[in-house]
Amino acid sequence: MNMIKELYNTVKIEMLKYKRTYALALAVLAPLFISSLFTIIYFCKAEKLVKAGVNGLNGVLDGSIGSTSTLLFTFFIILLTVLIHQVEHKAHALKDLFSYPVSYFSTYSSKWIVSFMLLGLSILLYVAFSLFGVWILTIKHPTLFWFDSARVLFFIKQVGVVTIASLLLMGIQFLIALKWSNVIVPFGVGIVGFISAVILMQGWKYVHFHPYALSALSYHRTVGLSKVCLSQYLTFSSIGFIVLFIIGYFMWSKRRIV
Amino acid sequence: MDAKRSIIETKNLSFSIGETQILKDVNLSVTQGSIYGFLGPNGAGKTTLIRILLNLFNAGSNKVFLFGEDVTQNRINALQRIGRFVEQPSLYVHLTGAENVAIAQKKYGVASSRVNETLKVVGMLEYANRKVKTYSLGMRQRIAIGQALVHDPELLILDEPTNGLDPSGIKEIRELLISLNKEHGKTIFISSHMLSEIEKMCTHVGVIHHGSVLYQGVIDDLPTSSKNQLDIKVHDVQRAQAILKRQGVIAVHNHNSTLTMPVESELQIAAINRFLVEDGIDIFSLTLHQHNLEEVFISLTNDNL
Repeated sequence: MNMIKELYNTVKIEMLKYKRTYALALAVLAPLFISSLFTIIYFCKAEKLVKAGVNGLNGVLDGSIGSTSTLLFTFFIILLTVLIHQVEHKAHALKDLFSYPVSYFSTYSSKWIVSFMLLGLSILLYVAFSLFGVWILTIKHPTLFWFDSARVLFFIKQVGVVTIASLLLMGIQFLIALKWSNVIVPFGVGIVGFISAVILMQGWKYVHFHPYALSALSYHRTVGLSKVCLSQYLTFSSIGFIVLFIIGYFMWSKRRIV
Repeated sequence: MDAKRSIIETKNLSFSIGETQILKDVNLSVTQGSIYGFLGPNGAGKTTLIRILLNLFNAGSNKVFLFGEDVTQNRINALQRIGRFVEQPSLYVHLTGAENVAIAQKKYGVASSRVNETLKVVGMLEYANRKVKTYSLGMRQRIAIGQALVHDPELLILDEPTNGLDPSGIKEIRELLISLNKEHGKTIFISSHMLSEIEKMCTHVGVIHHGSVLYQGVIDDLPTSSKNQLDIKVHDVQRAQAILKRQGVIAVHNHNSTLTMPVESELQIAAINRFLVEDGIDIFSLTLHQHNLEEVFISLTNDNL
């Protein structure tokens, strides 16, 4: 069995494991919740929230991606990585996972691939639900909301930027949740990381190297509030993620399964 | 039996975790076709040894050989030929029994028809589509053993597979393992601290205590201290002792009017009885104490304290 076939097979098995799990439920329900929340608010209060002559679309999409990137996305990733690894930890299945005739690379990479699939599903649903909400608003309040393809494309770009900027954060949380079966540790590290990021964003000049601040900073950069070049955030996050992926592989392959 | 090849072999295997030495110079040899019972109290090193066999702990090269090959060099090939159960069932409780076995089937890359075949062997076909969280412990053990069997391995390595089961569950697992050995030719390496179970199903036994193997071999060849003891209650102890001594039987005056002596067979018991009766000794009772593995185990471990 060559490596690609083995990896493909291992990913299929991983996907089977996530049927009927909280991780999958979170990946579907979190974007539904956020998008619905903003749609409902604007559905009920559009006249008060949208100024005459201004397209309400900006307010809905900006409000949604703004709060997602600065607050919700960090917690979503912390929770998602914990739930992904809890499937294995709760089943005490690491000893089984390591005693199958499968390479360490395949077992490790398949966990990442499935995590990205869940994240990707969530992001796609977030965009789809947001646009669906916008469509409902254009029907309900045609004078306040109208379709603007440029704004929609910019929103999709913002989502992509925030996702890439969060890769480093995801790498950190992934490895912590993989190492510790106890949920307190990844949550604790995540919350401390988030709070420190919020504090340091008030003025620390090197905050753009803080993994938990990158999604918020990159969002602000897209709306022109940050002085640091957007590609700097994305490059730092991507390289940091690759380094963590490699470190994680060595942790995984040298792991003593007790 | 010993002419058969060793499926599991360890050579001077020592292993430490931090400052604590868990295994000391363990030389294990498990022959093809045997049911090898690996006995030891909790903390003796059984699970550590099993984890080393499965390469979950790395004890270094040229220490552990599975199917004649160094496990650290041939991890994937060796694991393909092994079915394993380590300590407790590792099952995804949100999935069904069949889905759990299917995960193992896909990992081993065998035909999907093996899932139902295996479930049938372990007696779980009827409950296969129920979620594991609704199963009793015995049912979970069966599914876990099913995962170990799905690829029809040559060797089963089972770490305390009857832990937590009630007597009927233990009996069912024992019968299943015996049939896998006799009817399907599986070599089985099973660790346990339940001595009676090992005695009932194993052909070979290894005894581990404080990380050292105290005894290893065929159950029937256990040390002579394990011979059965015969107690004879007679009216004249001194004369009976003298009569037996003339016949080459060393009897110990235990208490009251009872003599105790080792015996090897029922024919020897009959002969002893005949000598005494023919010489006019009145016999009040003959009691045979059959030494079981538990007494042998306690004797072996006490000798090494």
